[in-house]
Amino acid sequence: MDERIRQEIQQEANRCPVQSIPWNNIRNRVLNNTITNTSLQRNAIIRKSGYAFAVAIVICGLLVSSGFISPVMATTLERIPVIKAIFNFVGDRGIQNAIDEGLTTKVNRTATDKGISVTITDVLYDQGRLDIGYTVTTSRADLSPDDYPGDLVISLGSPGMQFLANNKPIHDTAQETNQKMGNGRVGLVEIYPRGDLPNTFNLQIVIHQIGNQQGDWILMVPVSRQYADAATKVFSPMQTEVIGQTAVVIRQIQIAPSSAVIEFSLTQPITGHFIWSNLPMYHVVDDKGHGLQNRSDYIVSSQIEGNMKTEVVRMIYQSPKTIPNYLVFITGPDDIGYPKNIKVFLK
Amino acid sequence: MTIRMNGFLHLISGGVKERVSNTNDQDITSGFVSRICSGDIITYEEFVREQWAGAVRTCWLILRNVCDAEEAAQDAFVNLYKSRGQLKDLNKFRIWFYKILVNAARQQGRRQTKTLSASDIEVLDPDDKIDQTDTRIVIQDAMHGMGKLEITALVLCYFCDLTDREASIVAGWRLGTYKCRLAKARRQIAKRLQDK
Repeated sequence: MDERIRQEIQQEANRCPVQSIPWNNIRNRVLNNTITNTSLQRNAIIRKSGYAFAVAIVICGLLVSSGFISPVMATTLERIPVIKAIFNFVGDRGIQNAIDEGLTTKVNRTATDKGISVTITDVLYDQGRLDIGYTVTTSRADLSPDDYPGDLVISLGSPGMQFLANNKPIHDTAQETNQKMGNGRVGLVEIYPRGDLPNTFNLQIVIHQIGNQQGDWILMVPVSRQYADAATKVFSPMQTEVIGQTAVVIRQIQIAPSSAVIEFSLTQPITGHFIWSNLPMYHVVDDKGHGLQNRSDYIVSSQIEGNMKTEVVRMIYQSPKTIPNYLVFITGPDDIGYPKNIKVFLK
Repeated sequence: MTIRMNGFLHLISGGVKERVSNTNDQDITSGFVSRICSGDIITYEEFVREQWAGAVRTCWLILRNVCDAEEAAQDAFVNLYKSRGQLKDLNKFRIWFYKILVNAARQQGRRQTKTLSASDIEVLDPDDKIDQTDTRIVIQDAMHGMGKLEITALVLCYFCDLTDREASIVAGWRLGTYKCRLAKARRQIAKRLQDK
């Protein structure tokens, strides 16, 4: 039986479609880290000081706010090692940028049901993304904060965490990270909306199940990107490149505090085989050679005129640390057959 | 000194074992490892190219999402290079690499995207034989029904070909805990195969 299981597992693994090796990406990440370690140590110290300051503010905020919630929750939150969680979560460069620029909004609103409290601690909202930080705590001794069985874990989507903007569901690509902290859990939801959300809106967070517990945890958080918009740079290069039979137009690049939104169009004959998802615009490198990490992408519009089809695509990346002089779009590994780099100056 | 990296195997449809690339990739010499550890980017590239497919498949078996698996494998290779100075005993390179890989998969699992992507949708191949497809579905169901811990044990044993002791070190569990989880996974999968 052992041999049969081995054979079946090997065959099962063989079903995984392995794409080409993203060597350029790996090399860039490796070399970037090497450079950072040698020449930018001073910046690293400044950045770490900034984190420490931000963390101190968050700790104070949590401790102060916990006093207003309930004595049980205050005791619980006091025991949470917030520093560790914050450092884990700010592993994302976009969030680091936003924290550096003081663009996160402290919320600290709590909903309690069935002895479980959900607190929205921070919100970050800009052109490309909406991030929500939260904690889950309980006064009940029969519920465990551990991963397994996950009594305090909230999944995304109904009946777990659902998000509405002014009472309308947000169409998005979302992902969520959470971890145990003390006798509670802390988490971060990253939402990449598909389409435009209003500059300011009421974000509703509706939860009907936490772990196996059903209940109602409904929170309303006013959200605004007023300050993030002020810190967003918008470029409209309208630069056209032709790849085979396809015309690629880089229409707009928005570099917001925590995200970079790149909009481009592809025009090609209807019979063409060049589809946007084959165009690895995922590989965007700034003027210092740092790759931007792709977070989401979607088709904004699609139209046919005569025998030509035009698709407008929007891609969302983590924002670069500073506004670069130019971006390089690496439009395909050689094996796809469309090797061409597009350099776009941001002036 | 030679270190065996025998976990990364492919099977072609006929069930015959086939190497990922050439036969040399099975044996990683201490010279090769020490060049990686000294930061030789060319040797490192060679290593990445040889082990990429196996690393992605290992992560995919644990995570069940191609994008997440590729991201985890990428993180693992980057972490390996970044922490190359921490490897004290070159003989343990293989275990060390798997440990980094499994940790990267776990990390990715924690932030795993909950949305379904096109690559997760399986379209059955009309050329597949019914019996093969049936077995595959049984295996998939069995693995979906398992916890991440049991799947990890199963993958380390049957896909990575690690010994019990090596697998327990890679997973960061006591030997007894590993054996217990592997036995549980094995029981579940064997029962499904027998019921088929």
